[in-house]
Amino acid sequence: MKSIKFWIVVFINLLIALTVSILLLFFYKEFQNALNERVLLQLSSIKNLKRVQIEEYINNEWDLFKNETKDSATTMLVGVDSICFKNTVLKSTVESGVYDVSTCGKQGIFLALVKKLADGNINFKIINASRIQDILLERTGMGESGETYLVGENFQLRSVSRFFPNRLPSQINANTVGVHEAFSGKDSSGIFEDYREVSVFSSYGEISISHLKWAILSEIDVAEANIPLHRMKNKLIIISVLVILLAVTLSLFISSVLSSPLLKMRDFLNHMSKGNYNLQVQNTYPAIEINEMFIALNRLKNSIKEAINFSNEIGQMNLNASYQLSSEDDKLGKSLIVMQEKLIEYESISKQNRLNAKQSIISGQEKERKRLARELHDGLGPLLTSLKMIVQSYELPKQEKEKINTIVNKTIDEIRKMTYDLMPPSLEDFGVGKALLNFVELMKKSSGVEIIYNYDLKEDKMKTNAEIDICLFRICQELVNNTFKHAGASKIVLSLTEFDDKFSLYYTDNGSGFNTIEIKTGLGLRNIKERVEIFDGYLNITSENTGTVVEVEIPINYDKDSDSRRSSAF
Amino acid sequence: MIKIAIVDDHQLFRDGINALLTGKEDFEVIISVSNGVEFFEVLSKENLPDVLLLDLTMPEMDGFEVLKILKKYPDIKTIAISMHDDGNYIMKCVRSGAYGYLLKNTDEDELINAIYTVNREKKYFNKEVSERMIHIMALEGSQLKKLSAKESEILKLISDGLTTKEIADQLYISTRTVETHRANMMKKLTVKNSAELIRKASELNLI
Repeated sequence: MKSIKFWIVVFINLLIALTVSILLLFFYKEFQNALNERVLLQLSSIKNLKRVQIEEYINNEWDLFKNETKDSATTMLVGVDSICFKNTVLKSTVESGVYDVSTCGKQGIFLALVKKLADGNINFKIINASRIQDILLERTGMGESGETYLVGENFQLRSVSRFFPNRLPSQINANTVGVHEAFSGKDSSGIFEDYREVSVFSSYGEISISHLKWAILSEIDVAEANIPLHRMKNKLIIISVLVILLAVTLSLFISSVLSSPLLKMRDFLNHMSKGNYNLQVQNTYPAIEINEMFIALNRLKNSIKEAINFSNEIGQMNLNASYQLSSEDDKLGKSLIVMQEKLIEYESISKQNRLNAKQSIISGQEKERKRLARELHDGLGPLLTSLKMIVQSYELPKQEKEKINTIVNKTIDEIRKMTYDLMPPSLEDFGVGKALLNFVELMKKSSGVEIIYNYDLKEDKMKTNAEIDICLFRICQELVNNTFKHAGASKIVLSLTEFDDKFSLYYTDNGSGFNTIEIKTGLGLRNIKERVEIFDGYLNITSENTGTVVEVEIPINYDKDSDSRRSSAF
Repeated sequence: MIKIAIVDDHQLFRDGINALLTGKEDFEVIISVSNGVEFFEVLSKENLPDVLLLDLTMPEMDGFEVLKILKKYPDIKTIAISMHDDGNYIMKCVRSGAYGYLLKNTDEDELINAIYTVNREKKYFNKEVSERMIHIMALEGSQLKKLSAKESEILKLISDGLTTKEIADQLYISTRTVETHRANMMKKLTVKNSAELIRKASELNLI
């Protein structure tokens, strides 16, 4: 499996390389053909020119010789072996004409001009045709390796090889394609190996004058002629390399432009799958589709993040957190919301249960206190008072009677006190407002602290709810005790007001205050807090060193709905 | 001879008093029953008691209900005789027409004294009981109006131009309470704001 980048780069470059190479190959071939054609054309024109020059020269010599009349001078054998000459030319069947007798000479091209006279005598002249050599050596337009040379019928060079100037031409054999072709009468050109076995461009033809038969070849090394082609090839290679490089660079750039957002996307998704959603998704890519993809990703991320936040919130029991469904299909969100609802339900049930538990503890406690108070007051009290009456009705010494009376009185007082401490009877009989009147009076008397007590209660509702009465009374008891114990106040204000929907208790003292945090953990204030909680009431305590203010509110409607609900919960 | 009725749910107590009183010349216990219902059953025009010694806490019909019915018998002078030393009980008895209030552990002399006193149609309250009555009365003193006492007080202070905080400080109540009172008054008088409240209240002569 390869990356997108890889595929893009490979395909783009393959395509470009293919195109470039086809184009270049075509171009190269065309150029090569044109070059070959030109080289051959030039060679053949050079060859033709030289042939014409040579033929003209020979014809000229022949004409001069033919018109000569001086006989004696014509029989000189200069530079030519006479035996060889006689064997090759002066045979019985000899005819007038020009013969090539270079093979009989030592060095150079020798021509024999033979004239058969009318008397049967033979007139001949040997010419050292160095002029031909000169013509051939004239190398204008032949470059470094170009040459024009003559080959005899025995396939030996007649003219000096340009490449082997020190060897005799007759020692060099030129049994080449061109020579064969030339002797077979063709005047053409081609590419083949010359006598050196080097590839050459060659234009060949035949020089045939009377008895003289040569092949003339104008040749140039393929290597030299192809130098422009090689140069062109190098240039083409450089160009194609540049093109490929450019293509690679461009394709790398394009592929990275295309693949970088994909890689980024992959990273984001990897992060997200690992649970990290704190990503900064940017959408400033140059392509619309990619941007849209990132916008969608961002949306996904946000909605997941929101769901995470939301579940985190409800995980920490912050049940007021709200969640916006991202769509109708937001199953995660929906189940989270269901979870939240369940938790809220559970929380409220467990809160209710806690309150119920507290309430049942407190109300059980209060019931027990009430029962004990009743028993003491209505059971033991009357027995003692009866005892006292009976004792008083007996004839006893006055001193004895007094003694018994004192003890019985003390006992009765003690029972009253215990009864009061357990549950003041007036609380049940007169409600909290009046019960507090008595309480305040007792407190004032026992402590000497000034207590201002206001109450504003509805007469007809005095006994609305015994539990609220007890609650308010206990709170006041607790607060007053607290002030006496900790605050050292000289004045207490206690105000109890009944509204349509609630009781309001306002308590202040001018004492030294207390550390709410410290005291809150203490039994007294915790009791107050619990009692207020049971009725779903409001409690506010502010304490400074100049005094303490406590506000309590107990809703009255508690009786109607929550109580029935609560009792059914038991 | 003073005719005496005893209503108390404790037989022993009744017996005690009976024993105590029958020893004296001037007293005759004509009725001794255990609750209010029984008392009114045996009560007859021919045999009305002069003094009734009435317990407060009783089954069937308690002392307060007896006192209510006894308003029809103005000749019967009632002495409440109770275990309760709470001033509220005393006040309620007094308001219900009791002539005297005794604690159950009262001394023989006081009981005799009280019976004689009320028989002369005079009230009898000993020092302790009187004190308690006075204290309770001093602390009490609320009367029912269209507006409660507290509300009238607050309304007056509002019309004097005091702020909620000032009113709260002056009346020893919380600002929350003042606000609630104000809201309640506006509800009672069906007005929308404080200015209207003052106007309406003065129209109705509430301030």
